Amino acid sequence: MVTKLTTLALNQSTSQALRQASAPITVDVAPQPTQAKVVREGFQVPAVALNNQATDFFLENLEVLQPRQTPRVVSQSLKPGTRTTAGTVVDLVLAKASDIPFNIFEGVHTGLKQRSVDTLLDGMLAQPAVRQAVLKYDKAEDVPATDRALLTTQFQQSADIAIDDNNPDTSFNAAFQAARMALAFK
Amino acid sequence: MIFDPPFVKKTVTPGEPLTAQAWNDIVNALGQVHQHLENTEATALRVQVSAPDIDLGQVRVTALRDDGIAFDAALPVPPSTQHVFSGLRAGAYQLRVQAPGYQVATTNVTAPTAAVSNLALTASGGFMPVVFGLELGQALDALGDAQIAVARVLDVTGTDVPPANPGAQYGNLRVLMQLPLPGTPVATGQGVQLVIAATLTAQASVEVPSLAGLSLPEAQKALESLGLVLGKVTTKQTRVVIA
Repeated sequence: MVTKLTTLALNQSTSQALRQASAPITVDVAPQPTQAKVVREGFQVPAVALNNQATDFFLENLEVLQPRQTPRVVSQSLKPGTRTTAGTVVDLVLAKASDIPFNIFEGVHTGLKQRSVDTLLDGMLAQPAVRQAVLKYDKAEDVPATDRALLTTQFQQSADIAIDDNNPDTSFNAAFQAARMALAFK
Repeated sequence: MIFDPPFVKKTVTPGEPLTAQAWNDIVNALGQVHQHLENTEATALRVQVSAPDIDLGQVRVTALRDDGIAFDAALPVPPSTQHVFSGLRAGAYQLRVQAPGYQVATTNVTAPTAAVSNLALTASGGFMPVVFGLELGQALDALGDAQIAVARVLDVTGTDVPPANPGAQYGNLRVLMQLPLPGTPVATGQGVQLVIAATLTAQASVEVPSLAGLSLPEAQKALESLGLVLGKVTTKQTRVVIA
């Protein structure tokens, strides 16, 4: 229970200091520290008492988790394009990018299907110029010759996949779409 | 029995002479028929039933003889408005008049009598007024004035509307159907039913976007911006096989 008091019977110096403060003072008079009311598996989650000094030391020795290492949405209970009313609940399934293979995507280059998204993210898409060349265009046919040549080289040398526009499964378009979808998981 | 002596059907063949006896038999029989009709008319019992706005075709008039046998009166033949018993045997009868929505009326009579028996009916409940097209509030007032209880009100979507307190959102919606039909007597305690229009509210729909590739905070933000709600979140990882 938290009660707001404006007048307190305290020692003289404290009283004077408090009199100078114009804002109301909040005093927690609850018998125990407030605990978050979170239920997990049917039970209240136990309170944890942290040693602040040890915690700080522990955290200083950890690396900051990069955004790409955080799980990403792979599946959703309502398929994209479904019309529904406001307030509808959507369940999600997430997975780490390193676990996500290209073969769950439509129309990607055959040479990438057995690899994870990380293959491109850690490879050719780690270069800002290449990323920009991919993100700049929505469709492969919009890519100008200069950027197309750059990307084709990257696909062949960095990603080690052959580009053959005579075959839709190994075309520049299929590789370009794979790269764009991989960037969604960056 | 009309004929005394009993009527005997006699026929003749072509060329056979019609005797005076045969002719007299015909004349006598006609005379007896005429006399019977006169007696029947004289002994007819006429009943005049009265009540405001009553449909005489729905009125049943019964004469109960002291030996327990009941006779039904013939319905009025316009322009007459009287129920008629023809050929009632002389004696005492209890007349009983009943009609839907009215209390039963009785009176004692002795036949034959030239006097018309008058019976007034008293309504046992109300009669369903025309409430079609009225706003619900007006319809409830009209039914209340007729002392008719409303058992149930539904709107066209099937939602129950409390008749006693329909609320402002239903008060001005119009009655589309009423049960029973107008003019139908409604007995005391019998509730009537109404169907009213419904206010249809268009609920904006949203198209669910693809969330693939988004992190959880990003996905939650995308859902909430569309008014959708993040539900159960499951995070999966590749199975680790321990050798």
